[in-house]
Amino acid sequence: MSIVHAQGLTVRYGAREALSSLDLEIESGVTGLLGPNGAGKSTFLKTLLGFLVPSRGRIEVLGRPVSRKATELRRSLGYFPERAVYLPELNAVESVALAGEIGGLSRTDALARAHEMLWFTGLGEARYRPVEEFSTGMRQRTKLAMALVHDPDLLLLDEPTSGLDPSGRRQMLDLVREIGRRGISVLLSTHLLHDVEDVCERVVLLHRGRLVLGGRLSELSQSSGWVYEIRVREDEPGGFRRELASRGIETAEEHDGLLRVALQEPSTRLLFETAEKTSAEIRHLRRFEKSLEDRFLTAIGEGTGSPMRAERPPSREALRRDPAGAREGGGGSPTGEP
Amino acid sequence: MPLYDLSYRRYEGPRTSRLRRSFALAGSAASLLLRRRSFLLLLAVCWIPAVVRAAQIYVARQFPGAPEFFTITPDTWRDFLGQQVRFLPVVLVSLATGASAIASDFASGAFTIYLSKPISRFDYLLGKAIPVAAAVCAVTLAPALALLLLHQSLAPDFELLSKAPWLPLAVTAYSLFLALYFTLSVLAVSSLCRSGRVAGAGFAALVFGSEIVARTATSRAFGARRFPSLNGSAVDAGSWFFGDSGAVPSLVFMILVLALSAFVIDRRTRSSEGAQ
Repeated sequence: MSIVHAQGLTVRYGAREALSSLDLEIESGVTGLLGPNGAGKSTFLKTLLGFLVPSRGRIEVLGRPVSRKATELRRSLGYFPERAVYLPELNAVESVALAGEIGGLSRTDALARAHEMLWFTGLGEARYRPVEEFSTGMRQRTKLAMALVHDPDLLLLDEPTSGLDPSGRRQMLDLVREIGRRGISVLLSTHLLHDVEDVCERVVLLHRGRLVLGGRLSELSQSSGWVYEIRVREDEPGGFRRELASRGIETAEEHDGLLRVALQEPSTRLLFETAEKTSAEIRHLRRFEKSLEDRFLTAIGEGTGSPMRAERPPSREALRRDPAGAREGGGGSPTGEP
Repeated sequence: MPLYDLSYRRYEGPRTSRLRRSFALAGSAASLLLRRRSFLLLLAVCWIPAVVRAAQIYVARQFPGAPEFFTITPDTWRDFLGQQVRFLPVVLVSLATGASAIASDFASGAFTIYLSKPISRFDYLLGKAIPVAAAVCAVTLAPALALLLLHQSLAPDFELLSKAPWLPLAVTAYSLFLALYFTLSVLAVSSLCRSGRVAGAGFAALVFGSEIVARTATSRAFGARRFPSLNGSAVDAGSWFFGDSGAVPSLVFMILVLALSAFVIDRRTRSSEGAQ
């Protein structure tokens, strides 16, 4: 079932187009809305809520058109904004109960549900404390409880793990996974690929206001073609690779003697035959899986686009010098991974 | 909820109307106000003029030979409401209830939370306006009607009401107009700020600033006619509700201020909706 359907959607901030002729269909379930900063993710969420009016195109949420008067539609939507928000002077249970009442619950039901939601998000013991005194993680959980209290059918999460420590991030993602299991569709906007890989079934990638990639995560992560990574030990260096080239097989050398080989068929027999012929000893062989990050970089034009020329992994030497920095791309990753 | 079940459960209960959602917002703001002792003290102080007027009514009814100063006429209510505006109770109560109403929602991001729920901007503003209007009515309409009741209980001959049967209506209409006027103006200032204190200072500056400008202009350039000010016009307009057509310019000025306030609030909340 489609929960969001956009056709030719264009949203402008003055002269700048934040979303450009976006055609998009999102199925129910947990979907990741990926994109670098400024890709138009938050704009897309605000358009779904009716906060922003498209200058062109149309958009439907849960089968209903979104307009400036999307008030009743919002009864089926829960929104978790990116920025730190709280209801001034109220404690957690009052905040969530008020959000519930405004969401359409009676006072009694809203209060009962506020307690439930705060227990669910792990704030049961702190629910009578003022939200202003909460840590970032606790405020994020309060926001989640406020977004959920009126029991929406679609939950829009804008960077829910932003500012959280690893443990808080893990707990937040567990909550998102649990919400998805309870039949609530989730649209998780983030620039953190690992968050999406952890909890989402599908992914939509925006870049400069356009859809550049979309589909099931399992399909996107699959390798395109039959590419293998192989490392051999040979008496005559380069012989193995030359033999493959003579057989018309494309190879690319990676770091530390690792070769990436593109085969025409799934069988690795040819590799073993070549190794036998050149007296090479195969020390490592595995099918190359293109990661979501590779897909992401390729789609936004910062990767190579070919599985034969993926981003070069750090060398062992680099890993020895700076294990953390080297593993995360030395802070230069456009995915913003911390 | 059972202690052993901390998982997420779907809600299948009834849903309330949009009007009730606005009242939920208003109820929350009102309960926060009533928790503040300073606000309760302010309300009590604002009732002091009503207590003085009650004494006046008591003396006038119990002592027929009392000086003319104690005489009770329909103008007593006009003067009372005018005093509530002129001597600041209305301004102070508006400040205390409305200055931070929208400003603090902008600052804390609560505006985004509210608007992401099934309420419109109008519902939100209604929820913010009700507590301010109610507080203004608490120092205008409520004491004025209480004085009317007191007068009638001490003078069961209905002499006053038979001479001026329109009096309860005039008191109610003028009080409600004052409530609307001060509510919209303080909310407009609040919507322009991101801090309740700044909004409060801004509103106070507008009230006193416009009064200073009006007095200066009246004495120097417009000697014959009183120049309008935010507070002064609200006092003068009372005459129109009590049957004096000479107060029309003040009334027109107040209507202009109301229109401008509504425009400012609309623009500010509309632009903040997408920007938050």
